[in-house]
Amino acid sequence: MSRGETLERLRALLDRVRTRSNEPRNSFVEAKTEPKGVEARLAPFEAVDPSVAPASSEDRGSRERLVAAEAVDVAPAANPVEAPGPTAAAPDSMPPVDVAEIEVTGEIEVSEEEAEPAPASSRRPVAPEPEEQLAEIAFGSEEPPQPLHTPPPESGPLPAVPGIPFETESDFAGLRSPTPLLPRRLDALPHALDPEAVRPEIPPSDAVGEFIAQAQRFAPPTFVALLDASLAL
Amino acid sequence: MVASSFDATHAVRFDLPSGSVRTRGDDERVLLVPAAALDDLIRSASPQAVEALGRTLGAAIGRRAAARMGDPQGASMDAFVAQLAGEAAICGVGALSVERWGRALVIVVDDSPLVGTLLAPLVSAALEAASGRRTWCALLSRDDRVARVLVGSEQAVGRVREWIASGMEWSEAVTKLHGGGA
Repeated sequence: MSRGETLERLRALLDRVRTRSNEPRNSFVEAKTEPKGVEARLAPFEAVDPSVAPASSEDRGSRERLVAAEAVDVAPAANPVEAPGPTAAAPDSMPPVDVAEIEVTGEIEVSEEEAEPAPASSRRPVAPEPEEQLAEIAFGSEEPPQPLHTPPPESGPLPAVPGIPFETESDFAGLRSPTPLLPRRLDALPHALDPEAVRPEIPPSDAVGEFIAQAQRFAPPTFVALLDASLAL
Repeated sequence: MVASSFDATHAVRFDLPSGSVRTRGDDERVLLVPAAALDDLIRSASPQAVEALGRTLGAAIGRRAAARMGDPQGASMDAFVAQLAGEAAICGVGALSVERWGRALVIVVDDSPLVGTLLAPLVSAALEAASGRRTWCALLSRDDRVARVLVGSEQAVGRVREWIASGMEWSEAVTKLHGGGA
């Protein structure tokens, strides 16, 4: 594509944007949702369901609706264009159309079916918010909202707690009388402490020690005997 | 019977008017010599001179000990060692005791001011003079506090000296002297 052609196409796109910006909103939406031949040409890339009725402007303003495009097979148009490529499909006279503009909206009904149980790891419920809450969010509630902060309490002396009579014999005073031991408990106490001895029974044996060498037999009676023994080495 | 305790009463007599010091028993005149002077003398003397000095000092100790024992041949181990150690202490040689390693006799001298080369002939001569046996001694070990001297025959002492000179531990050498060890 030459530079002049690029500039020409850009100018055409700019003119189209200016023209559309001057059109009224409804007509823009209708033009947006109305199926055209161009959409048919782009069908292989963006599936459009022409059977889905366009949403009314009233419904579109609500937050209750989730909008999504469903992918369906599109029947070939009356005057089909043979296998258009992504860029070479449209004739040169027609400006390229932004794919983002070509979308058909369809309502997805908020099902009243049984809510899917939330996974254990998720704090937020999977099911959509009930209609009452959505209505509250959309149109507000009749009740005035609660203030975020309560006013501080008034200053001044606190009222005294009403007096409570002091009762010495009640449990309220913290007095406790010792619980008398039952006679069987007294009998169960031992009169004298006897040690519980654990003595292992070790059988007597005369083969406890094992001598691997003889003890020193040499015991010189005198120093000179030791000296002689040392000199004999 | 020889007493196993040493009586040090009047072991040394100081005659101050005449300026003499004598030991009891043999009435031998002695000299109080500073240990440092003895060390200097030993450093400058030949090994033979050092050995001769040591033997002279030891012989005097042994003679006095034998005089105290009366019958050294029949003296018990404790009695013999007590008299010999007592006389050695009078001379300031150090605290003498005996160890028996199997059949080997080892003389231990604690806190001695003398060098090892002087201690070995001193011990040998003392034992000879006290017991009447010809003995040979080899210095087994010497550190800042303790010196050990092996008493044995000439051949045994010669072998132990060789083993220690070759790097063998003295205890191992004494063991080997009995026929065991490497």
